[in-house]
Amino acid sequence: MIKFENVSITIDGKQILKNITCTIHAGDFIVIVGPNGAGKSTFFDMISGKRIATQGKILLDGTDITHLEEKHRATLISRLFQNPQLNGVASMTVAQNLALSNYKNKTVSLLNGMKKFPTHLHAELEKLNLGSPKILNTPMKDLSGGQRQLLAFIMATILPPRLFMLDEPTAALDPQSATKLLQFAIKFINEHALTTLLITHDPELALAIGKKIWVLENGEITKQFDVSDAINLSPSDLIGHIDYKKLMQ
Amino acid sequence: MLAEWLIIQGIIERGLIFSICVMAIYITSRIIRFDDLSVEGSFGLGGALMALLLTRNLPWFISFPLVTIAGAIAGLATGLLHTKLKLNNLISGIVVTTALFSINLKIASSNMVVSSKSTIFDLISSTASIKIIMLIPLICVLLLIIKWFLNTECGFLLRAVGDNPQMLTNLGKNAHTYIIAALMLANGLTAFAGALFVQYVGYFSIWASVGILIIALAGLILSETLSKTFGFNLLIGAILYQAIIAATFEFNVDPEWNKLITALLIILMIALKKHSTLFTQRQS
Repeated sequence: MIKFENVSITIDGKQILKNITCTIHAGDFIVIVGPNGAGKSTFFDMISGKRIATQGKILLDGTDITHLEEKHRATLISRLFQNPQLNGVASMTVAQNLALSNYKNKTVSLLNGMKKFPTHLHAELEKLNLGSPKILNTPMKDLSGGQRQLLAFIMATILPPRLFMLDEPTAALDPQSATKLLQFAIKFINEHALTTLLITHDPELALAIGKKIWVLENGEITKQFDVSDAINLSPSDLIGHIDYKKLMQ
Repeated sequence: MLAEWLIIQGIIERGLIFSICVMAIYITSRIIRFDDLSVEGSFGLGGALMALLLTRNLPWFISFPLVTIAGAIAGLATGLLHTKLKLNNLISGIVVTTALFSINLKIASSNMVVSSKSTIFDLISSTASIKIIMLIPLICVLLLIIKWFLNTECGFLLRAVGDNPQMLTNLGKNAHTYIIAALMLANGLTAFAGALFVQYVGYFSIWASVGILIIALAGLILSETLSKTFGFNLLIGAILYQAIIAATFEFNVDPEWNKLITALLIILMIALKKHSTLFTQRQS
């Protein structure tokens, strides 16, 4: 359980997050929606430790982690970034990236870098068409955006984290790749009962997959909905949506 | 015929020694993507310290590790300036190189002769012509050790930090530790090269280290025309550069133009590389 008590973040004199008080329970799947500049990514940065709260407290299972460094929090929290470049090492091969992601929470040595390759993932990789020797020996930078994000998801969850954060993971993907990633992600999250936060701009996606939906506006959580509310909600109840019919009028 | 062989031998020997600097530059600029200017000071530091230790009758096999550690400390200083004081890469390197110039002068003054001392080249024979036989296995073993290291778990993290420091944080590792480690490795290697160069020529000169960075960079760019990986191409690049400089002597070009020739060579190689990339893009 993660508890936020009156947490604020001020950057260059501007308050980006304002007195946030909320709780993430174990097994929650919370979708966070909000307009640009609402503070969604800063909220994730604060949880991951990239930014330290200027006020308030963050408690993880009762332990105060407000000032814990990002690298220490990373042992508990995994994050999938919107930018695929932040999710892997572009110049290294897929196999090397998979081995590297298995170094998490382990001491490294002068053993062969591939020694920690997660062989138990072979079947999973095959199912996703990512397990062939050709793909495994391809530099990460030469994969398609969809393949990169799928691999990044696998790498981020090699050790199931206490909290998993997905920051607009489909923003740079075409609809087919986005669907494939989301199908895989939702199945995995449900099977492992991962406590998950997902940021999206897409209110329809939020309504489709969120067990809870939080609306973040102007640095504050202004609305919280439960899965039972979703059937009575429309995208415009969250942050609105593009009305394509009106575009040509 | 003998004179020609001696010229070729000299090119290969100097190329092999400077290839260590090319390896160092590869680690900083290609692996951790940190343009480290402090290697210029570290080369001088290695040379100055080796000259001092040899004149104090310390055996060369004890002097080499000490010199390498001194170089690594210079790398540590650059790394700390960058990671703790948040100084820009270039400024961190310039500050350390500037400081090392004075330190090197204090260690060995502007010149120090060591030709009468026992060196690594005496291991096989005291004959000067045998130096190449000592250098080839030494440099090849050094290259293979670094190549092996880059494929270990620590090496993987070193490669990752240059490409995506966030990846190390995601893994719960300290990205700064690996940046500093790479700088220590690169500067340690350069100091080793400086020490080897002093033993090779038989004296230390404070001016010998001026321009080392650009010599190494030229060697690296030439090596990348063959391959962009860490391998024997680095040795060939360094030797090719020495061959180009030696050719200018053959054409009776005033040695004072050497630095200008090097600069023009680098510009030419970069321009050719850009042109060929554009050409390939247009073709595709």
